[in-house]
This record gives sequence, structure tokens and C-alpha cells, in this order.
Amino acid sequence: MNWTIFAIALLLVGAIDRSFLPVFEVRGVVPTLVPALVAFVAMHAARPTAMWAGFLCGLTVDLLGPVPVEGMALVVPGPWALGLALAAWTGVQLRGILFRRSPAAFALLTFLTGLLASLVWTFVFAMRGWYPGEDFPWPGSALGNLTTRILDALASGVLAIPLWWPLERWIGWWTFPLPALRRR
Amino acid sequence: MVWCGALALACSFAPARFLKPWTGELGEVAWIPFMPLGLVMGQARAWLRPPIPELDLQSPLAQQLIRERNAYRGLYHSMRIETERLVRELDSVSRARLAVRDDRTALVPASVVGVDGAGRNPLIRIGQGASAGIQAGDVAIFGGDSLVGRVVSPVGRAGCSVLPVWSPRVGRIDARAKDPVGGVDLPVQVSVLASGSIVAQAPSGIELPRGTEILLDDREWPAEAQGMLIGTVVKIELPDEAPLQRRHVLRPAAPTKGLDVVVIKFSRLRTAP
Repeated sequence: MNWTIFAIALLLVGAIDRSFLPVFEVRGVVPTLVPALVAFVAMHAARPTAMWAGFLCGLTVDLLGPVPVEGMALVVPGPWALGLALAAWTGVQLRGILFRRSPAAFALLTFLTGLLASLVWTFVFAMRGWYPGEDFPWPGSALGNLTTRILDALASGVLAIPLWWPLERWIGWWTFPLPALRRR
Repeated sequence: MVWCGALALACSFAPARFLKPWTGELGEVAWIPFMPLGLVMGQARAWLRPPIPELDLQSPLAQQLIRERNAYRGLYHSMRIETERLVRELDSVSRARLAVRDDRTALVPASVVGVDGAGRNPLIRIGQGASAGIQAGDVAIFGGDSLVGRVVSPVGRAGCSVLPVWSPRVGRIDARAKDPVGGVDLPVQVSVLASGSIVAQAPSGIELPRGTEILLDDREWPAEAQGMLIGTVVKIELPDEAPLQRRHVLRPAAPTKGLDVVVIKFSRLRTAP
């Protein structure tokens, strides 16, 4: 995989996610593009590459999005990185049973990526909530937060459908290995 | 990958006091490459969905806006009520005009401005008087053919009172009982009991069926009032003082409560008092 293209894509996706996509917010539900990027790489790249890509995407999300803890914005590098790396690994496992040239499959994998990463993120912060002096970074229950995150993942899946065509159009730039050469 | 994963796991569960000193600055450094594009995207977002400024409800501007809102809300409700009243008045006049097929009968719509005499001796105060040509004895109707009562003296220039047919002071009224289905057409006498019930008595203990309409047929009332509907038979009782008689309790044709518009009906050809 061409890492320069990946870096440019990550730069674009990170900036759009943080600064532009809140325009589509409906009742606290905001779609994001990072799960779509991870799902796209997981559908085509070799497993270690896909996991590294997921990890880097997650680390970027962690570093750009501090969490309110103890009355301050705390950057916790890890939850999204772990979640998206796990999601990329799952995507690699699932791609064999998906039609890769289908926007519906891409949307489904994007949703699953967002869902898995949200589960990990919620689990980590639910555990941290038990630490003395730290509280949960969400109002209400963890289940309520998870519901919102699942809806976020669903919105991301929907947003991934129109994103599929440009990604497929310029897939050659990514220099993914041929399916026969790709390590599983 | 394994070492990076382990490091990420350690950071994920590290207490906040270990992360505070260094992760904040790391996050700021990470933002640097995203900043130019983020600024452009932020402006695009603000252009597409401008932020709604929060208004301090205690500020003088907010207080003035609240006062204006309340004033206009009150004005809106009063105008709505007035419009509804005018629509009902128009409807009442239209229906009364349908019942009158000659030019000799005048119809004057009048708003009910109050009800004097609480309880069982009501007197309806209306907002039209002698300046509209109304005289004592004129008949007040509702909805085209429902009898309300008669105008009583004194009649002021811009107001007068109507004695409704459900007032005990009206006395006995001659009427006709008509039931188009059963073919009934009998003279009856209508009176108001002390209890406030309007009752009709048919001769020789004849029992009128429920739903029979009682229409005015009394020479002491103006010609314009003849044939107006007084009420409908809703119940039949056997009075203790006259067990062989039948007392037919009527439901007045005009609403006894909440009446807000009546139409005064009189002849244009009559002489001034």
C-alpha cells in the first residue's frame, strides 16, 4: 500500500471529521469518515498493513479528540487505536465473504468497523470511570453512550456509500497488492 | 505491532495523572498538520449551519422580546376570539335570512354582552338597541329558527335585555307539537317550572313521543316569532299533582349556556312606539 496516499487520505479525513462533518449532526448523532477509510484499507490491503493503518487512524482520532475527565480535556492515546486496529483485523477476516466491488458491502464493513471501535472505546472509558477521581466522559449511562455511538456507526455506513465511487475510481493510486499475492 | 498495541493498551488504562503531563501537548502537535484544512472546513461548516447565538434571558433585550411576544400573543388570542364570534354571528344571520323570504322582516345581529340575574331567572344583555330599530317585545332567535326570547323594556340606544324562554317569568306560551315522523300536530302549552325545567303539556293526557318539536304558536308574540322552535321533547314525567296528565320536559332549542350571538327579528312595517 502506498503510505503517502494513505497519509494524505488520513489528513483529509481527519480534518473533515473534526471540522466539517458536525454540520450533519442530528440529535447528537454525527457520521465520521475514519471508519470508512479503515474499512477500505481492510478490504484491499494485507493484514499487517491493514492493522497498522487502523492503528494509525485510531491514534490520530485519539490525539485529535480529547475527552472530558476530571473537569479537563484529557488526551488518552489508545482506545480508538486499539478499537480500529481490532476492526481492521476483523475486516480482513470478513473480506473473503464480501463482494469487494459492492458499495453495500463497503457500507456494511464501515458500520462494523465503527461499531467495533465504539465498543472498545466505551469499554475502556467505562473501566476508567471506576478509577478514583475520574468519572465517565458521557452524560447518563454507558448503554446510552453506546447507543449514540452505534447510531454514529450507522450514519458513517450510510456516508460510506457515496464515498465508495471515488475510492474505487482511484484505487490504482493506493497500489494495493493483487488478491493472489496478498497475505491473509 | 504487538509492542505498539501493548503501549496503546497501557495508555488506555493509565490513570489520568500519568497522562496529563504529556498527552495534551502531544495532541496539540498532532493538530498542526490538520489545522489549515480544519480552518477551511470549519468555515464551510459555519457557512452551511451558522451557530445559533445563545440569548441571556435576563438581559434587557430578552426581557423586551418576551414582553413583546406576550403582548402579541394576547392580541392574537383576542383577535381569534373576535373572529370566531363574527363568524358565528355571520352564520346565525345567514341561517335566519334563509328562513325569512320577504323584505319586510329585519334581522339585526347582536352580541351577547352579559347575562343578568344568575341562576334560574336569567336576563340576556345584548349589544344592540333602539338605534338599530329594536323595540320591546321583539323576538330574539338563534341559528335561524331557534327561539331565544323577547326583548324587554327598557330598550337603550345601544343595548337592551332579552327575557329567554327558559326563564320562569315568561309565563305560559301557546305552542304546537309537531312530529313529522309520527304525524303529531297538537296544540300544547309551554311553561317553565320553578326548578328551571321547560315543560309542555298536551290536552287530555296525550303522550307526545320523544323528539317531538315544540313550535311557537302564540298570538301574544309577534308574527315574526310564530313557528320558531322552542325545544324538543326529551323526557316524559307523570306529575304528582295530576297523575292523569303527561309532563313533557323540553330541551331548549337555543343554548342556555355559552350563547354569544342572537338575531333580533322584527317587522320593518311596524310603527314607532
